Parts: sequence; C-alpha cells; structure tokens
Amino acid sequence: MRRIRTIVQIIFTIFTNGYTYGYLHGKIYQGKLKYACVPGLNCYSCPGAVASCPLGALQALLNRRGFQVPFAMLGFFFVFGSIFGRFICGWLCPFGLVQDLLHKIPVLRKRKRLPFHHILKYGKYVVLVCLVGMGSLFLFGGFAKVPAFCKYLCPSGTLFGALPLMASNEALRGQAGGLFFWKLGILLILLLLSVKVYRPFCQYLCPLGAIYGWFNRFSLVQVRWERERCTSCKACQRACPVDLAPEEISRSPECIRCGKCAAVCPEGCVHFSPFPLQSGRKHI
Amino acid sequence: MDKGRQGRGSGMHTEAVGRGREKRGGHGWIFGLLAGAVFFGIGAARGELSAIWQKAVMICMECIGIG
Ligand code: SF4
Ligand code: SF4
Repeated sequence: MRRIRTIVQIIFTIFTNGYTYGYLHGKIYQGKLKYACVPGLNCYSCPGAVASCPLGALQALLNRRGFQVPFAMLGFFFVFGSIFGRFICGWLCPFGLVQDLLHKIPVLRKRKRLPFHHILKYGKYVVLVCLVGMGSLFLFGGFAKVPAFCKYLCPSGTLFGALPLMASNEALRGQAGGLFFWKLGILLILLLLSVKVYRPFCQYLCPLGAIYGWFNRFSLVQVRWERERCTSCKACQRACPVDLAPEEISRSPECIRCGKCAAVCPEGCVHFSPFPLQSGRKHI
Repeated sequence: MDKGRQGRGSGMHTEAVGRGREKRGGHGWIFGLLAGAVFFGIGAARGELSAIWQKAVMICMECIGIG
C-alpha cells in the first residue's frame, strides 16, 4: 500500500508539473489548462505547472476590487472535498509528497507530532482565516490587494516556483530581496522539520488541509472503522503517521487517508470505502 | 496470550463515537457535490475562471517572494 501511494503521488506530481519547456527557459505555462486547478498545493508559478493552484486561485478572486464571493473556488472545494476529502493530501499533493519523502530519510528519531499538538493543530485554521481570508481581503500593497498566504508563507511557491524559476532566469535572481529570504527561511525550517516530524506543514499550517479536512466527515472516499470487530489492539494507531485512535479515523479532519491503518489491521476492520484499495489483511 | 484478541469488541471508550457518527456521514457527499456544481456554475457565469487564468499565466511575484 505504501509503495502504491508513493507511486501515485510521484506520477501525479510529474503529470501536473510536466511542462519541461518552462524549466529549461525559466518561463511558466500559459495555456488553457490553467483555467482549471489541481486539487493539492501546487504553485501556479512553478515552471512545470500545467494548471492553477487552488489557494492561489482563491486569493486571486478575493483580491478583486470590493468583496465578491469567490463562487468558482467554493464550487471547486465542494466538488473535490465532497468526493475526496483529505485523500487529496495523502495521495495527490506535491508538497505532501516532498514532506513524505523527507520523513523517510533514516536519520533522527521520528516523531508523529510536535509538542502541544492539541493547540498547534489549529494553526492551519488561523492561517486560513487570517492569511488566506482576511489577509487577502484587507492587506494592500500599493493600490492592489495582496495574496497574503502566497506572499508571506507558502513554501510551495518558494520550492516549486521561486527556486526553479530563479535557477534559469537571471533577471528574477537579481530581484531576490528580504521577502524572498524570509520565505526561503520558512521553507528550509519546514523541510528540515519534516525529516523529524511527520508532515509539519500539513498538520499545522496548510489552509488547504484545513478546508479538505472539514469534508472528511462526509466525503465519498472514506477510511472506515468497524467498531464491532475491533479488538482494540491499536495496531492502526501505531501505524498511523498522525497518531489517530481507531474511533477517530473515519471523521477526523487530520486523517490524510493514507491507508496505513487499513493495511495493518489484523482483523480487517479498517478499510477504504467505497473503493476497496486495500481492505485490511482479512479482505485481501 | 494476545491481549488485543482477548478484548474483542472491548473498545469501550470508542462505542459512543463509532457507530452513530459513521452512519450519519451517509450521502452528505452528494449534497456537497451538487452544491459545488451550482457554486462553480455561478462562478463560471460571472467570469471568475478568466480571473483565475489571468493570474495563473503571469509569474506571481508574491508567490516567488519578490512582489
Ligand atoms: S495539507 Fe496542504 S500541503 Fe499538505 S497535503 Fe494537504 S494540501 Fe498538500
Ligand atoms: S487514520 Fe489511517 S488513513 Fe488516516 S492518516 Fe492515520 S493511518 Fe492514514
């Protein structure tokens, strides 16, 4: 299961960031596919990106003159969230993949969570409300509103946008200043932390994870736990990278639907639904 | 002796949470999907997809830490 997930993550990332011309010439794709968004966090200024970033798009709509409800992005989140929930985080997000790969590096004793997790996990909602929402609506740069999350925090923009663009575009390199180094610092801290702690950005900061997490409770794609057959052996919780107890699995906004719990349950009482990707040992 | 097996069905603290809540989730996703389609249609009719495209095809200076 773990290998299948990594393969899906890699293929999806390559598929949605496959505009090679952009990498070679320090340019970005400008075709019609950018009317659409990919589901995960994927900067649209990545030279390889063939579609838009949902958070960037949401902020672009909020940045318009006056306040206008961003209906298209509400629709996008409801459609993708209702079908997948945070399955998107577990399987289809390039920045999630980066953190997963870093966490596989066999150095340091691994931790699932940061200290004060029960408080810090609300950080992503704060970022969603303060940076994506209020920040984009009220922060001004000159006469234009700014996409505050992209500007001050987003590590995907730095990793997938700024670094490859600057590597092949000298004019951009020359413009890097304090703001760039601020964002670079955030990126480096998050990447280093990912080696030790499982997906720190996803667990504590990502507003997209906050949005999709809300849909987890009723999305079509679910990881279900059957109480009747559970022996409370907690194998699922030990395998779970975000340390969820069995009774939390189905509805928790923290579950990224990675399926590790389903793969290890000896009773086969944790399983994907409605798609039987892997339904526990007894169901194989 | 495997403790886990001995305690089959003994996830007592889990019982109240487990069943009731899981069943309620049911078909909520269909309503979410329909609402999403309606919202998306309204947004598209208001030209929001063009606004997104216009932003996405220019290098976003804020995203890369220059703007
Ligand atoms: S929480 Fe954010 S960065 Fe992490 S996988 Fe989900 S969308 Fe991607
Ligand atoms: S509860 Fe299961 S599917 Fe969810 S994050 Fe934990 S191991 Fe992955």
